[in-house]
Amino acid sequence: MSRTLISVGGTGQHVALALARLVYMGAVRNDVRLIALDPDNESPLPKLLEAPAGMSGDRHPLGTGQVHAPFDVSRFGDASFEQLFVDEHHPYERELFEAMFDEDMAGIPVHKGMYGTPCVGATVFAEGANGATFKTQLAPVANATQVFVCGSVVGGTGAGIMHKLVTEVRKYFQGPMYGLFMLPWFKVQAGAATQGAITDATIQRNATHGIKYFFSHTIPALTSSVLVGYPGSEQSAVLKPLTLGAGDMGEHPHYLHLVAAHGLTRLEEAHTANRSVKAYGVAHDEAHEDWLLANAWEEPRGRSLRQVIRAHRVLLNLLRFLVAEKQKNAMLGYYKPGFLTGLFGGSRTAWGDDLHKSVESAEPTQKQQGVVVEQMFGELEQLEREVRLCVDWAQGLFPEALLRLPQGDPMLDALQKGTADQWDAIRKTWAGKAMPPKPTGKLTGAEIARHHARAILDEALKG
Amino acid sequence: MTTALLHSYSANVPERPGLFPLGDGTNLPAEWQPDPRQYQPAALPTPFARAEATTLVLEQSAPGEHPLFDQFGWMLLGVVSGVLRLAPDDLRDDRYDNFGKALLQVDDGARYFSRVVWPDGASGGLLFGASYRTCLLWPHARRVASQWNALAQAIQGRQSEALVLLAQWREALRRQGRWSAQLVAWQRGVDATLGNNVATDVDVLRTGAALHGPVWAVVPTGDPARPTRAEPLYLPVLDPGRFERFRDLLQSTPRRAPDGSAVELADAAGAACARIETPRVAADASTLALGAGNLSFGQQRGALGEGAPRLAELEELLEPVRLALQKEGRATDAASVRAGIGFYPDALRLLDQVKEAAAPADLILTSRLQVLALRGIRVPTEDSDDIASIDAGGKRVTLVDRVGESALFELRALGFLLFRVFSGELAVRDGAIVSGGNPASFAGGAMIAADAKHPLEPSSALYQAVAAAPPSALARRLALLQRFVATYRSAEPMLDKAARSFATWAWGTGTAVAGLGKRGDRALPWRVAGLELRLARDPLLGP
Repeated sequence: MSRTLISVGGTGQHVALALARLVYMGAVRNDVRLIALDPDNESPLPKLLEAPAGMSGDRHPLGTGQVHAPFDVSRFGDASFEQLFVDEHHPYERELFEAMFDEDMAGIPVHKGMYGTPCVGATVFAEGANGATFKTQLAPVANATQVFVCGSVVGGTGAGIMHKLVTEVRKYFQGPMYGLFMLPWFKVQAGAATQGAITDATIQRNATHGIKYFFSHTIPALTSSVLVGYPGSEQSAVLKPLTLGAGDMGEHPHYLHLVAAHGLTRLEEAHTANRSVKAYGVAHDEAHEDWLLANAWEEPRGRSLRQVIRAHRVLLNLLRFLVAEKQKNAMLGYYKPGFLTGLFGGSRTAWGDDLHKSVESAEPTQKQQGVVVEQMFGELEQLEREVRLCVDWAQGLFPEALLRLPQGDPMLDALQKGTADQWDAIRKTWAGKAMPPKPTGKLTGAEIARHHARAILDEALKG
Repeated sequence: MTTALLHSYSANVPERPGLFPLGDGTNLPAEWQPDPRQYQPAALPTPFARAEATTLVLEQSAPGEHPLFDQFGWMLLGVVSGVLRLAPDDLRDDRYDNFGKALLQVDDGARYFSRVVWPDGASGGLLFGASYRTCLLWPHARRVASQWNALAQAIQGRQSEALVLLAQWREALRRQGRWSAQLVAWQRGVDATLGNNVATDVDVLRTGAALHGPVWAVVPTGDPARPTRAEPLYLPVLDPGRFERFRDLLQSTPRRAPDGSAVELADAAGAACARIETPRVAADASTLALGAGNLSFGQQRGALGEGAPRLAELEELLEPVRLALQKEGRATDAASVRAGIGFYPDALRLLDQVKEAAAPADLILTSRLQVLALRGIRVPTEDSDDIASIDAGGKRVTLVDRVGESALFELRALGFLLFRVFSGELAVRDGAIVSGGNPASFAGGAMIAADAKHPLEPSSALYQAVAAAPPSALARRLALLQRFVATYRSAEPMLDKAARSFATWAWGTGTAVAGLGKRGDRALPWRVAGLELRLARDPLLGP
């Protein structure tokens, strides 16, 4: 099974980031491959998606987080919408362009986004869909088992691109294609709109038109779709109204992105049960707002999302402990004699023999072992950032009362207490899990770090 | 208790959390239907947003409720009144560069469209919008109120005639089963524009209007499996006297324009008085879509021809237009063109109308009479001694002695043939008229044509003979003439009139010959071109 997620615009990137975390934590199967489209790939949000917590290239949970412009940005640079098409040599082209778009639309600097104007987004996308660059970007969908297109129907980019994207993808892929469509999920701060930025009025306007267009034109081309949006003025522990400043292009995680990600895991099943239904909403349990935490999602052993988050919180705590200056210096001091040994002593009792055996498997000589351990710490620090990305996100979506991580949990209890208990927990986790030497090539410190971190996680998942 | 994670959704939500079908799972929930008065093109995710918005407005709104509805109405009346002109075009043309390609990426069905231009406006050629199949016409994004007002003022003097014409055009489509405001948004828009204007006739459409285009438009098909389809449609444009002008210009010389882009009708001075477009297009383009068959008039500088209209030549030159129609799946036989008003370009439509007027569908005329009819001379339908018709398998073969100031003597000629049989000069054998066992002849040729196209048409020689003064020998055979008239008095009107016409001529005094004496039996069956006429011999000749 290979699922391709095509995210469109900023909202699509938000859902992609939610999915990246879920895949990283193992709550969603690791077969989702991302194609992200947005004319702006310089703002904080696309930069985050490209390398969340530094996970880029093969390390990215979604295969890649690179955000592609729907048109050949290198060719057009900072051209306005009009400048993409109109030139002095084609008066009929100019005449028709001016008939279809007013002066305000013509002046939109599309490399910064579509300024909440779906008709502009659709046209820019049509231009890009002509080019070889875009065809190359879409070609991988031919290998997918399922395709999901994800974005907003209220912004300029997502709404403008979505319908044509669906029909364009169909040129490369005839299998099941699903939609994850976000309706209004935030408000824009009043009175602070800069020129061209989206306003609340723009959002509402685009929502009504976009939904109408979606049902008329887009839904028929998709296998089925789910629509998710903020329910009016409701507020609750997880449904928190969000107001963004004009032009705010950072990440703003929201419960609704998790809901959209949930749709990705449920649409196939829903479609199999009833092939006549093309459009779904999501019902939220107001009395049990942790219903998504209680679901098993796609974790292979059927663990709930709550259990998965808990296990990663355990891992995060222990990683933080390990990479803390005191512990790090202790280990490096042991493996780099002549400098720190005098200060911190030469005992590896704290972390136990199993980690040491792994280090020895990588490098028999102590001098070189120091290098391995330095590599190991580099990777542990990276892992700490990665896990923190996921745990902080989950804790931001759900208050502690809903996360309801188990009370009297030995592992969690141990983490609340002092150093000795954490080392104890770690040693017990690593017992019997030393890495043997590789049959060919050398073990690296990074591999050791990932192995032993995995051991902690596996132990935590048992809880 | 559950709530739907959707803005403004008040329908029932299931009690279990998770996915649930929206509404019926397929159609837009009613509470999400936008207010049609508030549609804004900018918010529609397509480059054809103005067309899409116009379609939605026409579907759901009313005049006065949305600017797009009113602008649609003005554009439509502008075209029909002749103020605005349709200019067919092709998005794939290089003139539209990458913008055209981008538009075609979104909707390749929009390739052929018509620009809607005001050629005589203050700016000397101003685009007011363009066509699109779902809304017919959509208005320009940048035309301001003063420009719309100027258009309205230019239309004002012709508005009432334009409404009459538009109503007739609607009526013509309605008669073909091609009108449904429930199915087609632009037709609802036209209904609203017309208001109380209703047509029960299509006379102005046929004789006082151009049909110009085409505009690719969604129309009802009558097929439940596919209720609507986009087809090339021709819009009406006021042009009083158009039919007569075209008919008169058929006297001129048809020729191909030097660059091959048109067929021209040229007067004696070589001026192109009429131009029928046959555009030269790229190999993958449609000549029909780009205006093949559109007719315009030029300045006549010389005389037109005197002879019969050169229809055969013109038809041959227009063959590419017919082929272009056939390529689009349109039949081009006379019945189809006649029945499909609004779906055929003007040149073919008017040409068919000329031929129809010249030869009403239920009549078979001689070629001489057809020439006169093509010149606009009305074939009389009132009964008189100068005209007679006989039924021939649903159509009526018609012979005329005199129409207007033209003398044809067709009845007289037939009477001559009947007299030759009556007098024993010719015989009837096995259904044919013979002379000594051979087919009867006159001046070395057949007397009467015997083909289905021109049954009973007298030959030129016979025509000349009866047009001249009668031979004096005939006048001495009064008794024979009297018995001849008496014999055919009880026959079909055509034979009766033919006998009397001949007898009056043969007697030479200008007075009618009375039918007297013994009547012959009309027992001789003459079969000619599907007709069977019973002829007689003078009873005094014996068997």
